Amino acid sequence: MKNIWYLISAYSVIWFLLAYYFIKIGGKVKSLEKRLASLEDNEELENK
Amino acid sequence: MLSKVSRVFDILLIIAVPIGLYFAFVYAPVEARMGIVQKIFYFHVASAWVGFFAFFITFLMSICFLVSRKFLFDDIAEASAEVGLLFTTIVLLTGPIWAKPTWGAYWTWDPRLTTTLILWFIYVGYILLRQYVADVNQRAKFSAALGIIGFIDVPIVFLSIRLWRTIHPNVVQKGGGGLHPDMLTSLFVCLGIFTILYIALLIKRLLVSSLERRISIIEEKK
Repeated sequence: MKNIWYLISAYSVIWFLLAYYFIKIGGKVKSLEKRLASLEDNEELENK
Repeated sequence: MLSKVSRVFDILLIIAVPIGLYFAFVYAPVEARMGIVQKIFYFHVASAWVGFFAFFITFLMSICFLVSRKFLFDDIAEASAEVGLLFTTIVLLTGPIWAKPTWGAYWTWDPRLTTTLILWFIYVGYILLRQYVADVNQRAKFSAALGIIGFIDVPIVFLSIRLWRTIHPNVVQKGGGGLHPDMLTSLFVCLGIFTILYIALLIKRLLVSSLERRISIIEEKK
């Protein structure tokens, strides 16, 4: 029965690492998209 | 375009992950000797295979970069190495958790474990190399060289079970290593799901590289 704690630990490690990376990368994509959008808007204003 | 594909894979994952958990926990029978802790196997093995595949993609893309000098290949190589390192980290953490109740120890210097640890260090080195080389062209060239040479360890890890004496279980053999058919099915389902996960993470990581490149082009113009 105590082996179930090893199983729970292993699955917690797997999903924690995957979720952490997923969220970190997703957050980075969002912030880069915002930065790109604002740079492109500024570029358009400068060209006008 | 890449954003749209990324969203499709995100939706696929929402469907696929519960399916994988069902197969691992409910569909697959409990192993008679090891008991419930054996169920770590489905995601541990899937992580290992996907990690090897990721490093193979890095190897291929590194060759493509050296031949064509197109930075797209360098971006894919870097993204795949990073994601591969994540999966290899999962392998190195879940393996010892399984090993403790099974072998009585978290770690042994078994050939399979040792060569996998070496593989992890090689790709940590790849990531660190990219952080510390400032020049874009040099970074891509040195990384490509490491991506090609480092891949040599992947078949060594895979074949370590055949080349040396080891206590690590061997699934990849005739008859599926004595696995029950339902266990084999669950393993392949989990492998499919982890492949989808790899592609989803690779696309997201590629989006980061592509956006950074576009931002640096605009900033250089100023």
